[in-house]
Amino acid sequence: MILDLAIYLFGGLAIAATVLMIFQRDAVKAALLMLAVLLCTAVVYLALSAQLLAILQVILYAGAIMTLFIVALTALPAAWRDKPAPASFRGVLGLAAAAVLLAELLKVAGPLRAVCASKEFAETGTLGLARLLFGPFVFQFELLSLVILASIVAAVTLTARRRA
Amino acid sequence: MTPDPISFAAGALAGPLLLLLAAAACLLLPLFLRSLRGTPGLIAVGAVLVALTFLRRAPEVQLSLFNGALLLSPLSVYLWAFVLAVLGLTALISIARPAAPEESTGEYYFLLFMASIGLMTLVAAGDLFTAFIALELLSLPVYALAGVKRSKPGLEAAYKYFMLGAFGSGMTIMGVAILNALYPALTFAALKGGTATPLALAGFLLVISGFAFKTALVPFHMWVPDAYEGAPTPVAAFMGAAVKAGGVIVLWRLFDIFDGGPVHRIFWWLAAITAITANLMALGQSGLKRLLAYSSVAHAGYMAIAFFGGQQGAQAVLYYLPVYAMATIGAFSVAAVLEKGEKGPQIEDLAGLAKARPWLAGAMAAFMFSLAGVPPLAGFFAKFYAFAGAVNSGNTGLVVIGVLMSAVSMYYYLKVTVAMYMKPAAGEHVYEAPGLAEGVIFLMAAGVLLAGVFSRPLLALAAQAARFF
Repeated sequence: MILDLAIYLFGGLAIAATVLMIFQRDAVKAALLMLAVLLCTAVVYLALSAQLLAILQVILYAGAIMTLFIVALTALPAAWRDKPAPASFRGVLGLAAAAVLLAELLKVAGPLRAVCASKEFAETGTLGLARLLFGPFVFQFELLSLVILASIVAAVTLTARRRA
Repeated sequence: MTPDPISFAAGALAGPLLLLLAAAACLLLPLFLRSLRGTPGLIAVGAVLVALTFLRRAPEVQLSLFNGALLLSPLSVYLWAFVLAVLGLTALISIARPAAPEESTGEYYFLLFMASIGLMTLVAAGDLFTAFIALELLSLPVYALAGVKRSKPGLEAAYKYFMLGAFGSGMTIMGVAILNALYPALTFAALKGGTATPLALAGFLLVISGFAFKTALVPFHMWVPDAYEGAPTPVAAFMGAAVKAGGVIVLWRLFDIFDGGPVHRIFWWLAAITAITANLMALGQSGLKRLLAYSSVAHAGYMAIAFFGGQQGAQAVLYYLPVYAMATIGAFSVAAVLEKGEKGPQIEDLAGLAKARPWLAGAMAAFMFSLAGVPPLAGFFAKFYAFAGAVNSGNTGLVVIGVLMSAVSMYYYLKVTVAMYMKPAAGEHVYEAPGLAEGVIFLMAAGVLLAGVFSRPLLALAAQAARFF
């Protein structure tokens, strides 16, 4: 009961914030509204008992990526002074894309509900993910750590200032 | 005597792990021990030599490790030896003609080693998912290596390579996702057993396009000329010899999943268009590194022709890879020796080289003739076996295109030789005492000659490895 309430409350908040974000013409305010959307979605994930996804949403999207957005906006004052000109053609194109997406969502809503309610789905939680990562996929998982290490060194090599 | 599978696997895996340790040593030791500054190159070469000793004769079975993620067999030993040799040679040229600024030498070798570990995993990968991650481990360091000098052409090369490479990776992962949804497992064996629906075909095509980017088959070759020209010359040699090999092996496994059908027709067209376009575009190049870049695209096309030869073609590709690598590393080393500006020597800069430095010119001529496929150099036999397999399987049309285009390629390879032997020197060739770079060049020239005249040992090794494909 309380979970359903949370889902509808935060889902509704997320929708409201998304709509506000779309019609917001100030870049900084839009970024903050997007942050609200991301956090509300995280709560919805939590209510759906996808704890790992909720935490990742907060850490990765709300934490890292949004911070990056906001830092970029503050670092580039031109970016938030520059307001997009209203373009009717692009508006129509956007509405058309939105209509297609909405139709798709309505189409998959039924099957998706069945998937969410199934027992199999309830069991693929954090534990299942961990079992997969450290079981059958342990080699690939460890290989990915090398990829990340190599990219860190690569990024530092390319950007570090030369020591005189 | 061959060892039992378990001890063989342990010994074989020690090689890449040792490279990992050496990479960390190259990166960190010079930071802490002042006396070790400037030695990462030596650490690198030493590590490669030790890693080579870990390679043993493999038992005649295919060992599948980590749920089929890694396949160890004589094939993987053959390819790992190839990777280690290319890595060692690249490290030697880098010691002689540093590719990185002094303070990033440690990072340079670290990235080079990481790319090699990625390549070793890629050529031994048993499923598409592992192959994708290994491809990223191979590609990411090479993007950075292309721009390690932080000069303008270098950064431009790195940027173009990165953008197009990321595009290719995106296509690959999209294809892997589609195949993952359709097949019970992503191992090559499982993919071979499944039935190819139209959606699966779309997935395969995406994966093939992604790997064709790395192998630089036309029309996925746009990044090659700029990347080879802008990257430091030793890195360009590594890209030509090693990165391409990884793509070729995976494409070959993908090719082998099918028995004819649309995928083979697409490979047919890819091979034909690559051979034609690359050779025609190479005709007008004036920069040596750009010429070698187009030549590398053309050779990817010839190797794709060899795919059609079945078992014989597999053997041909395995013989082709080291032969092509020797000529390419040699030619790029000559470019490194003659390099003055940012983008490597122009072909006219080679004019009069035969008078000033006859040995260097002779070696360069050997590389050019081997790339063109002139007997008795190894390049001729490589092309011969590659085309012979395709003819035996009835793809004569494709081979006719390949042979005709090889004839076209004679023109631009000869252009380099003519400049060295028949044109008067435009400027002064500075005489330098032969050093490590010249040593590598003469080693490669000897290799190109010996692998051609005495092609039997290398061919026998390739044949043994090809059986485990």
